[in-house]
Amino acid sequence: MGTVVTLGVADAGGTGTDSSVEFDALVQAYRPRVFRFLLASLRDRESAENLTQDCFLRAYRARDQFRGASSQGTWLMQIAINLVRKHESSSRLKFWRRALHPGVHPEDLGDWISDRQVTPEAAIVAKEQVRAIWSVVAQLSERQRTVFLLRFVEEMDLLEIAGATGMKEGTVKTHLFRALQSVRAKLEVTK
Amino acid sequence: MNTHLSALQISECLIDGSEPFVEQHARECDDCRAELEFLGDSLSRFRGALGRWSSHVDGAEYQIVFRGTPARHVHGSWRLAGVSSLAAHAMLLAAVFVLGTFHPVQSLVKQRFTELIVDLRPYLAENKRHSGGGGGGGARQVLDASKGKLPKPEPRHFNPPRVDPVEAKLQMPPSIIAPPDVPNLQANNFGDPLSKLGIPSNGTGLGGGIGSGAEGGVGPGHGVGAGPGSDAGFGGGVYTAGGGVSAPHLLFKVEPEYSEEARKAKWQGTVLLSVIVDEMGRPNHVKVLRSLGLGLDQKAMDAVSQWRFKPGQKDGKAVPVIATIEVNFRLL
Repeated sequence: MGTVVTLGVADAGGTGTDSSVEFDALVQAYRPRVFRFLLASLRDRESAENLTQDCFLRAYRARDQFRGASSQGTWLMQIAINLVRKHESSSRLKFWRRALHPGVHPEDLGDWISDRQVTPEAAIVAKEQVRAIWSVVAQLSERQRTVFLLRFVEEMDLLEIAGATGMKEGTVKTHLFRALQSVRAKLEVTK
Repeated sequence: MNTHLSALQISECLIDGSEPFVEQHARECDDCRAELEFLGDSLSRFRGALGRWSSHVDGAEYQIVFRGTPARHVHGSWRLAGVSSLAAHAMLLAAVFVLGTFHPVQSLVKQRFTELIVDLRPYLAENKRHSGGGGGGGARQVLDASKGKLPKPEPRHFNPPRVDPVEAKLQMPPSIIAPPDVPNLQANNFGDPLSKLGIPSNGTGLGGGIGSGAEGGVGPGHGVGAGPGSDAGFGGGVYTAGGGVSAPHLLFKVEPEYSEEARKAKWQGTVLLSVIVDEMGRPNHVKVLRSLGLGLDQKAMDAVSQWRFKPGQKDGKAVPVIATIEVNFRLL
């Protein structure tokens, strides 16, 4: 971390990261969350790693502009959401992604369930449930998927999600409701 | 308590808590509680699986954040890469071939790469059909040769043809030395295809054969071929340069005049003429191969008719040679 140059003193709010040590702590604290969100959104390890780095690089460059209006986690997640949107709107990438991964999920999330299931039957059921949710999440719109992941994976509350996505709280709720309906419908089928 | 929670209420429970009576119902109604627990369990398993996967693949050190965005690695399977590459190359190749079938492309290539088309004519062997020749014969009879078909063209000559065949124990079919595709006619008897006489006669010539010439061929020439001319082959034609025949060499030239109409219309271009340069070096049989119009064709023919050549030669002798002449008309 010795190569990091301090770009300036943070604003009077005092919440800005005005030293590389503070930023280091921020990265340590939030990197897993940001990476997990990006991985779940993009389903591609390489892209998720690239965008995670992009996210923190942007945060580092813009840390002087962080006014402390929201928590650091929300702020970072806001950057990550914007990166995902930008990534997905790139039609060139979209074409190649479709060409390389035509309709199959690159990762079977059912393989990553907890191995502390009571019986093999319970393990199979759990696996099916996780797979069902994972397949529904892939079909959700970008907004619905984002709010769903933020709420049920990152466990952010509605206000934080609204802050991170730039949507109103009611809109977030509507998107969450629709996403949850899709998940429920799919889970009913697998029941 | 008779009605269960609606979808919206269940979702609200999961999303953000809900009204106190909904929560109370959820505690008391077994069905609704089971539904909520099922959904909650599923979501928490999903969260757990995602977390495990994420922490498993997240092996990167966070310090590299400060190195900026790294170059993208090439990912994907090698097999896919190979198949894609093969397909791309095949498509490219097919595109080149398909493009090559289009006429504009072909003409463009011909225009651009004229140096690829080498003129091989000077190196080719003598072409008998074009290099003249001829034959003649006769039996000193009173009448001219009668009309009939030519004998079979052969590369070697043994037996001169006769109109009235000679009875012999061992028949040797008569032949002439000529290319195999010499023009012929359908008839029962041998004769000169160019004759008009129907009465059988071997002609006024000498040396065997048919016609007014000599040396055992057919026709008025000297040789064992057919037609006018000498030596062998199918005569009566003119030579073309190449294959032992030298091209005529221009000695004297008259510049063509511009016609009045063409001058007014500012008409420019090239007239392509075909001439036969005879043994004396004079152009004969001037014909227009590619016309330009507006009186320029006639002007070109008038001018070229006055030109004088050193005649083309074959074996040291001047021979008539057909040549094409381009006459350019340019307004300065």
